[in-house]
Amino acid sequence: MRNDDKTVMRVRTGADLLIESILASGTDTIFGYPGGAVLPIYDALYGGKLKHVLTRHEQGAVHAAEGFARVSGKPGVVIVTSGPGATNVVTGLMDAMMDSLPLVVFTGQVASGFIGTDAFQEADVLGITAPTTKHSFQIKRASDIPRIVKEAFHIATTGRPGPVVVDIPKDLAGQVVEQVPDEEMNLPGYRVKDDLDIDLLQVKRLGEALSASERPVILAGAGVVHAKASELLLEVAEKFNVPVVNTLLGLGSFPADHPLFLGMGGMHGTYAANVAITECDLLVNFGARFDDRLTGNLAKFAPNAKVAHVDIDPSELGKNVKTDIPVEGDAKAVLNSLLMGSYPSPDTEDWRKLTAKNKMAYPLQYKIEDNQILPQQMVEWLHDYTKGEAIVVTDVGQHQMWAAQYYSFTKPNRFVTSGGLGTMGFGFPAAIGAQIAEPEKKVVAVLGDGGFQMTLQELAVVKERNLPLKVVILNNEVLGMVRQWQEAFYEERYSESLIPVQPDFVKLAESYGIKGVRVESEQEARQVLAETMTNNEPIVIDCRVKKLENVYPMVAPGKGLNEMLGVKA
Amino acid sequence: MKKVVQLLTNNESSALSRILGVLSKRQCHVESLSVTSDVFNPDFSNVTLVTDLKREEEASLLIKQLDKLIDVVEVKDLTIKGGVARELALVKVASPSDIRSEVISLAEPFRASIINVSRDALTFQLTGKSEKIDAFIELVKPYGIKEVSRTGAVAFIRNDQEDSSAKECSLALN
Ligand SMILES: Cc1ncc(C[n+]2csc(CCOP(=O)(O)OP(=O)(O)O)c2C)c(N)n1
Ligand SMILES: [Mg+2]
Repeated sequence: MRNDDKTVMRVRTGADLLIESILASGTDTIFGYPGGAVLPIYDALYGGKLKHVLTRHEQGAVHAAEGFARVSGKPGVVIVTSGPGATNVVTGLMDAMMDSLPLVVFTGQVASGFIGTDAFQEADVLGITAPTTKHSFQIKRASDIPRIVKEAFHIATTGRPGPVVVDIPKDLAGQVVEQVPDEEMNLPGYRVKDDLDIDLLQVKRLGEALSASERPVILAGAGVVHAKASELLLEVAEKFNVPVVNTLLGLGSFPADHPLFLGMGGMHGTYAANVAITECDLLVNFGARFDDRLTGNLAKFAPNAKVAHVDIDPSELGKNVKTDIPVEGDAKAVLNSLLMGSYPSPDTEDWRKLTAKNKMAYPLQYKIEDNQILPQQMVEWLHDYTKGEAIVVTDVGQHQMWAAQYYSFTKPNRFVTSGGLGTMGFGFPAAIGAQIAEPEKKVVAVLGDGGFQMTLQELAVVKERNLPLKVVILNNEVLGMVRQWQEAFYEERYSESLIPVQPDFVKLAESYGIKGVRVESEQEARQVLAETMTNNEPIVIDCRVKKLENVYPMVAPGKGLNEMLGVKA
Repeated sequence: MKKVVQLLTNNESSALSRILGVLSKRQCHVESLSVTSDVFNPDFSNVTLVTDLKREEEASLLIKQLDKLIDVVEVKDLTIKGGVARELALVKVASPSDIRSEVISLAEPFRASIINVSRDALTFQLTGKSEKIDAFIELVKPYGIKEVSRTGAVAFIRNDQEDSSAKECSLALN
C-alpha cells in the first residue's frame, strides 16, 4: 500500500511531553516568561490548550502562581528560562516554602553537555533552590518527563504542600521522543500518610485534655484552611466552648463575627487574643507553626498551658514550643475524630466571660484627629463596600496588618498574604493570580506605596487580560512598617524610610490604560468605593492616608504576648 | 553529644547536598560523613553521619527534618536504636630506626597492621571504634605523626529484632 497521505506526523519532543504532562495534571493555566533555554517549550505551548499568562517579570509569575494556588487550592505552575529567569523566582519559591503553597516551577537549563561549564545563562538551579523547595528534579532523559512531572505535582500538593522545581536542559526539551513509557511514580523516600491516618492515641489525650480544661484556647492556623476544615473547627469550638485565636495566615478559618472569636494573636494581635494565650490552661494549636511573630518571647509564651499541637508535618511538633500532646495528622481528620469521640464538654463559662470582657473592653482602636483618612478606616470601608466578601490580597507592611485587623474575615480562602517570608512585592502579582483563579469573585489588592513599586510592572497583565482587579494603595509616602520601628526603637531617626518621591499612581495606571483615581477624604473614598467595587473594571485607587499612623497593639521583640503597647489605657 | 545517624538515600548528588543543607541550616557540626553505594539496590546510597549536638532535643528534630527529605528513604538514630559503629584509619608515624621497635610495640595491642615501611616512617592501618583510633593517635603523637587519614564511622543496627536498650548502644558506639 502506498502511503501518499499528506498529513505530516508531527514528531513528539520532550517539550510536547512536558505540556501534555502539565495538562494531564489538571492544570489549565500557567504563569511564565520566555527565554533562550525554554524556546522549545514555548514553541510547544504555541496555539495549544494550556493558557499562559505572560507576566512582566519572573517574580511576578511566581507570586501570581502563589496567589492562584492560595485561593484555588490547586497547584500554581510556572515556566521560566535558565539563569536569570530561574534566579528571579527564588524569592517566590522561598515564600511558598514558608507558607506551604503548592507550586510546580519549570526552569529552563542549558543543554546537558554544557552543564557545569559556566555556559551562557547557566545557573546551578538545583543548588540555588535546594533550601527554598520541598523538592527539585533535573531531567536527565526526555522520556522521564511524564513520570517526573507526575512526581512533581504529587509532591507539591500532598502532605504539607510546598514548591517543587523541575529543571529542564534545553536539548532534552527539543529531543524527539520515540517511545514514551507509561511509568508509575517512583518516590521511595516520600510517604504521604492517608488523611485519615492520624495518631488516635494522641487525639484521645487531646479530647481528654479539652474535657478537663477550664481555660482552653484554640489557635487556628493556615493548616485548617489547607485542610478545608473550617466548618469542623467551628463545630469543635462550639462543642467544647473554646475561644478561638487565629494566626495571620489562619484568618478566615474561623468566622470573625463569632462570639468565640478573639481575633488574631501575635505581634499585632488583639489584646483579648494575646491575653487568652498567656492565661489559658490548655492551648490547642491546629495547623500553625508557632512562628516567632505569633509567640513573642517563647519563655513567656502560654506559661500556664498544657500545649497540644496538631500538624501534618511531624517536624513542626516540638520545634519551637514544647508540646505536651503532639498530634501528627491532617487538621480535618483530627477535628472529625474529636467530634466523633465521646469527650464531655468542659465548663468554660467563667473563662469565656473573661475573654469576652477583654474583647469588649479592649477592642482594636484608632483615633480620628482631622479629616485625613486613616488606613484602618479605609480597610473598614473596603469591607463595607465589598460586603466583607472580597478576596483581600496584601503586600507586606503596616497596610498588611491593618487589612488583617480590620477586614473581619468570615470565610476561608479570602485572605492572601505573605506570612512567613514577609515578601514585599508579593501582593500585586498574587492578587492577579487570585483574580485569574477566581474570575467571578471580587479581588482587592491592598498594597503599600513601597511594595507596589516593587512589582507594579504587572499592571500590563491587568490590562492585557482586562482583569476586574481592584488595587488600593494605602499611600502613606513612607515605608511605614520600617518607619514605625524607627520611631519606636531608633528615636525617630527615619533612615531611608521616607519615600516622598513617587510616581503619580493615577497617571501610572492610566499609562497602562487602566483607570486611576486619587482619594484624600472620607467622602471621596466612599464615593469611589461605591462606584468601583461593584463594577467589572480594574481600578487603581491611590488612597492618601495619614503618614505617621502606627499599627497597634504591638508586642515589641523580646517581649511576652501580654506586654502589649498601644492598648487602650 | 555525639549522634550517629544512618541514612538510606536516593543515589543522587542532590541528596547529599540536601542532607548537608539540613545540617548547616541547623548549624550542626558534621564530625564525619561516609557515603557508599547500596549493595542491594544501585539506586540507593548508604550514608553514615556523625554529628555533635548541643541538646538531646535537637536530635529528634534533626531526624525528623532529615526524614522529611524526599531523597531520604530511611533514617535511623543509631544512638537510640542500638547501633554498632566502626572506623578505619591510616596513621603514618615517624619511626627512625632507633625507636622503631618501640613504636611497633605500641601498635600491637591496637591490632594495628603495618602497611608501609619507609626509611624513617611506618604506616599503620587500624580499625575499630573511633575512640580507639583517637587513643592510638594520642599515644603515638609524641613520636611525630606525619599523616593521618580516617574514614569516619560506618554503622548499622546491631540486631534488628530486639529493640536494644540505650545502654547497649552506647556500649557499642564507645
Ligand atoms: C523584599 C522586602 N524588602 C524589605 C522588606 C522590609 N520591610 C518590611 S515592611 C517595609 C515597608 C513597606 O512599606 P510600604 O510598602 O509602603 O507599606 P507600609 O508599611 O507603608 O504600609 C519594609 C521595607 C521586606 N519585608 N521585603
Ligand atoms: Mg507605605
